[in-house]
Amino acid sequence: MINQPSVENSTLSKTPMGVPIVDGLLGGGVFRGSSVLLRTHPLVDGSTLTLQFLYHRLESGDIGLYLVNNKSVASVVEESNSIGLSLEGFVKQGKLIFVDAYSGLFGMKSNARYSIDSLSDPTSISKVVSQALAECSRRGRVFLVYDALNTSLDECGEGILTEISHWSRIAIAFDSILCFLYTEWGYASNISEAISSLFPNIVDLRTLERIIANQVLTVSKADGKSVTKQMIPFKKVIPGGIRGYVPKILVTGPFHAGKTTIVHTLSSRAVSVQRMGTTVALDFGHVEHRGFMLDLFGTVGQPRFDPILEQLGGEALGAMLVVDSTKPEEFPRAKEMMHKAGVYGLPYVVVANKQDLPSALSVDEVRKKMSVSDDVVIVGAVGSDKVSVLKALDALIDRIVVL
Amino acid sequence: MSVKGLIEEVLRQLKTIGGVESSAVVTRDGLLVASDVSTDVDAETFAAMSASMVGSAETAITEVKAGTTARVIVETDNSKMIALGAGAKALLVVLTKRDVPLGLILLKAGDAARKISGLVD
Repeated sequence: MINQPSVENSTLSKTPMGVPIVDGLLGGGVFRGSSVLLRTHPLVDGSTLTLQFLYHRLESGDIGLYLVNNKSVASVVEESNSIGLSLEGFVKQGKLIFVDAYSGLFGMKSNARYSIDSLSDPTSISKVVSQALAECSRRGRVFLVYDALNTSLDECGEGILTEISHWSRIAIAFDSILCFLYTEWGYASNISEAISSLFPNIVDLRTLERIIANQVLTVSKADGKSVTKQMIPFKKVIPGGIRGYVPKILVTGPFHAGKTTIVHTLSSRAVSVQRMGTTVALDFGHVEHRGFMLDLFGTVGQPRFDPILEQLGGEALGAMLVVDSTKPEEFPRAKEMMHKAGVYGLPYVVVANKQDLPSALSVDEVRKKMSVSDDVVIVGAVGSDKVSVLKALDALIDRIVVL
Repeated sequence: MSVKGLIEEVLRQLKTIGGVESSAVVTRDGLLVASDVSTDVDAETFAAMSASMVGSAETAITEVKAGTTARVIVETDNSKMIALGAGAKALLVVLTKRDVPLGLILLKAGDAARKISGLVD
């Protein structure tokens, strides 16, 4: 176990990594002077997330130090460009410095400020890393990326872990943050355990045995403590990088409850199949919110379209049940639609819509009339008022990601 | 190779047929599984609408007791779009040029749909 900065000291504030879904799970970010392990499943690429962290730290004024041992320096810059995060400016200003541990493998001369020729000797790697950390720290607080731990483990064996403990002490002294990329495959369990005990913060990216939203992000450790696991499905978007991804939220409810308006109010872009003023197939809207991308499927309200409701309800991760607060007589129909769409039992929120009308029932009255239990959130809203419908969406996201 | 990767391979094979412009696999409930549509197309919206289209067509046909829906073909002034079932869970949607020999396309799309059905079911 590495010495960690005293995390109990509440005056220390956390440093965000700049990716909202990760910062959320880490309780705001990580403490300066600590390290993060980005542990990935072999089929998931961790470098996108690392580059997002790096870019955010650079933008916030940190000095970036990037050790690369499995690809060329140029390809790191290129990969970052491909997700729309250009590192070239930072390189030119001397804000991003590379430690090239790759060119040496092929006997090529490196242009990087620091280079490592012998990959199999942990002490010579350590000498360069320690020197780079100390020198760069004189110019600012350092964010170090180690890409990747695997190469060093394969070349040096467990010896590298002792050196990491040493760098972590340097990090404490200089308020640096160290971020290690690590693909977990084929290592003995004692090595895996040694690695996980070495890092106070661990972010995991892995795949699940399903086709839709099969890549998930979890944080298994924050500030040296195991945390309750929340799983956030994610997707890589270009440009931008990793975003939380909820591929389907069903927006359902009786005819004329305001579903289409809500889908359009929430969405950055939305399409509706409407004929003669009412939705005939579905409303589809794309939402970007809190680092998440969510796709909303608004259903048709009229009972004659129920067969489509049954077909489109599948695989939703949550539902928004929209009711017209002035029409309690339609509440039974609202509940029936949840059943027909097959989303009963999934996380859901009730949107008590049309609160601007004089005859609207209050949220409490809606809860009583619908006999909805207290643990379900009911949000009073006006469909065209973004603030009120976002409140409902926030409540739903919180429900969905707590698994 | 992941299931998604294998499905993309089937779509690649389909694209080698003359006249096929792009194709996509979507779940019957409207989520995108894989596609080779160009990046300026909003693939998620396309997926949702394709599933809705096939679902509506199937329901319409069932209502008039006119048999089992094999595929939905949409003809426009410059393309054809063919949507067909690929097993119980998925749909294959193929976009072609307007003047393609439909028989060949349907045969090849049927083969691809069978492969996809084997991959996702």
